[in-house]
Amino acid sequence: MKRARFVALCTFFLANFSALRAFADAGGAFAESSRTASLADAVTARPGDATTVLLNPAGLVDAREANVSFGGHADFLSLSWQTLGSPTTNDDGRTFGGFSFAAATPLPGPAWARNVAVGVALDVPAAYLLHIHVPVRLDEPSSPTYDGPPDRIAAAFAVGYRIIPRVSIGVGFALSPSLSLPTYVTYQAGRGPNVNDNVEVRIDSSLDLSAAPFFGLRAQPFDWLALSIVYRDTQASRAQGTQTTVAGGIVATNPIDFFQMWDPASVVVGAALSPNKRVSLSVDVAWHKWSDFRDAFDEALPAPYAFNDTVSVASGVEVALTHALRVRGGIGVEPTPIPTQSGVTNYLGSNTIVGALGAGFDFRRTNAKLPFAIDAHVRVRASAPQSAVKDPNALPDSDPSTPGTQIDELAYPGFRSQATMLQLGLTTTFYLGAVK
Amino acid sequence: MRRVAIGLCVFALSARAHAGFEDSLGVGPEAMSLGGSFAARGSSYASTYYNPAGLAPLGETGGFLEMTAGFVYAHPTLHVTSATGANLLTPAAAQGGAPIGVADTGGFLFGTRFSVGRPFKIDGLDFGMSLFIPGKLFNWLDRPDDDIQWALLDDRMQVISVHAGLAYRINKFLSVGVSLRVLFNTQTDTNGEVTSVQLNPTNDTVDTNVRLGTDSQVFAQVYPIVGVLITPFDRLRIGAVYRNASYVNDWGTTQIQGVPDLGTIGYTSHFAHYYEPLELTLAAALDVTPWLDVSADVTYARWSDAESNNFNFWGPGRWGDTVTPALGVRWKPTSALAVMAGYRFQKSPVDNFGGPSNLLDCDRHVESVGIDLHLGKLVKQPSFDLHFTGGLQYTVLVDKTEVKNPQLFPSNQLYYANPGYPSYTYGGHMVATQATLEARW
Repeated sequence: MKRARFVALCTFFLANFSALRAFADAGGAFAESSRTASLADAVTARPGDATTVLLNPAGLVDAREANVSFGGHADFLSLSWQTLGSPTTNDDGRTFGGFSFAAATPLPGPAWARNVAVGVALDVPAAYLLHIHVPVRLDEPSSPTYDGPPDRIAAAFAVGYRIIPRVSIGVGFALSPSLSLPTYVTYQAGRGPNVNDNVEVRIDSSLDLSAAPFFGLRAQPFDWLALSIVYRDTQASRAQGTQTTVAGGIVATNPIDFFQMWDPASVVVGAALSPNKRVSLSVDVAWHKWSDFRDAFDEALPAPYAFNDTVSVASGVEVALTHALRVRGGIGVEPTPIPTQSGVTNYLGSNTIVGALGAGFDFRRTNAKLPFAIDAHVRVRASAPQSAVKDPNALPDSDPSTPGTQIDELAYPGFRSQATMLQLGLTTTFYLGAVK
Repeated sequence: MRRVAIGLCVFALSARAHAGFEDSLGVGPEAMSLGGSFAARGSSYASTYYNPAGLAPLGETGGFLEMTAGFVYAHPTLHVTSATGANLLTPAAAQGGAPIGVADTGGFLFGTRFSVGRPFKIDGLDFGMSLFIPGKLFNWLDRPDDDIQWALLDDRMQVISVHAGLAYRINKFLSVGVSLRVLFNTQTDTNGEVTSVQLNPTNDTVDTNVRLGTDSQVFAQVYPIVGVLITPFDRLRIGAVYRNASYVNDWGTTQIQGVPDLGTIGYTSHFAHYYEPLELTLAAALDVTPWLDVSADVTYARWSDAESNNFNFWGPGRWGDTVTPALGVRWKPTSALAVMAGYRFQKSPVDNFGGPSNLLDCDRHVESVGIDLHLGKLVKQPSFDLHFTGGLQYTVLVDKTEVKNPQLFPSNQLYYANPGYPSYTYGGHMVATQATLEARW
């Protein structure tokens, strides 16, 4: 009877949990506009547009008229890992993509109002609006870069203000939802004509929103030099709730606590140089606070397996070939935050080099003077091979009640992995400055 | 007890009938102030819901952009009284019991509308989008049908609402438009492993620990809204709208491994939320004078297709189709000010007929007023095209009495145990307001 009760209890519990719903948040990965992507994201010190709301909201004031952008990208990911000594290679590669929408405009009205600009950006993955994967086993190999972040809808809102002619600031927020799911299940014998109808399930599920702020400053002390600094707060989502089950004499309360970090807090310092009217260069240096990373069960990673903070560098160049046509290129280096995976976790990732090329054609600068522009890009992310050898002393016994050397580790005795991503993207911008 | 487990699996198949905030509060203060009579009007982001053809009305040329931001707030005051005069309670998930009622609604509203035809020198090709973001993106309550609950009020106004549409003005007489209501389906595959089991002889309970993982996916699903706007002559507009039925589909699988003696157990679940019925709206708007216009809408809603919280667990027959008339009037005493008023009568689609279910809903009288201020003209700078629009709505939920009929219950035990036994009376009122700032370029 006790066993039967246990089966019922487990099923009750799972019945409750089946109502787990989506989390959602803001700041889509690899969803930059073609202009931004082709400059390797080194744009914080450059004049902004609708698509750089999150990268530097201070750049919003550079929008001289209302404009909206629509973009799309296709991504081809090669990601594989192999257990040392195993002939089998696990292919986690996939193809994905997404769409983006952004709008920015100065306020209408008197001159002082035109020093204020507002912007909104929305990134929507093509396959999912959100995809959260929390494996039961902590040692299931997963990529913090490629597994979850590309599969989430993201939104950001911002306001920019030109303080003085050459200095502007911006502030905005990205929405990060978290799930609350208190559940109460009871079994009432005789309630219905059959046993199926005797179960009462009550679930209060809500997706609460929190705002992750970001700030930016852009200064242009000289015509040929611009500087910037940007702070972006951590974006993360949680799923929490207590599952309470009452069935006859069975009472069970099981807490749920899932955690997903989308982006760590970051500080970016940038500079842009314009040696002449046809060429511009930019460099961004970004510090990412990856040490705040927690595993999917919202537990801090123990030393020495906690993630490391990183400093990445990106640079971009833009050349105006004609009045309407510009070509761009960018390169970046992203050190991995993932420490050597000799313990229980198997996070995939290593130092990555980013290279991008792109071009933009502005139809406003042609004889037709059509108020729109098209930008395209291709971007490659190439990671160095990752290799890890497990330390048996760092692995727990599979049965804690029987100490010894029982290793139950998916990647034992070690693993290799490598990732490469190719992205193609297109962005179209419409300028809507005409008076109604 | 194994039968109990199987029963629990099957019980997870449930659906809920819900509608959105759109037909309770209205999309934006202008539509709210006009009683929801908006299908023959236009020039607003709200047309994405009321009539997409209204995104491209007569008289707009060249490029333009409108951006709107504001807030929505609603405060319902409801009562449910038993035959003895006592307030009835309904169990909440976390506490096991809380006063019956509906939480206040609070959220932000965003809208935009702009010309997408301008770059191609095409007048009358316009895009619009409306977005309502409540304090909680969604707030769903899953309850057995016989729990006393406000079937169409409790959480229907606490769900994100997104509409995006495109319209084209074919000629000076006819505009057509289509918009998409965007809803978010979810799939949740849950896996678990039993990590420990303890028997507690003191309380005669079984304590278990299960390590759970999940693979949750959210997909967008779109439902169309199609409309036409006919302008036979400048002062008269006629609108016709079709809105497809829509709901949120929420399904998944669950597997748990390591169950003693049984190994792996599992099941498939299926929920649905936020049900909106198929609707047809016919409307007309007339400019009586340059300063006065009136409009009237009639909406048929096929609520008879609706499902209850648990697929009409206690039997069919509680839903009925409805016809909702709405009237709106706008008066412009000055070029900077418009005053609006509206009314609609919303017949409740729900009737419990004295049976076991306790889904509360009342007929509604909805009265509203509002203003629209052109702030630029107010400060004598007409080029400063900024509008403030505010609306106030008062909804009377007409008292209704439910008397339980023992012949509709499977057993006397259930009849006497029903939370609504022997009868109850319910009703109330709701005050709501919306305000926005809209800038036009």
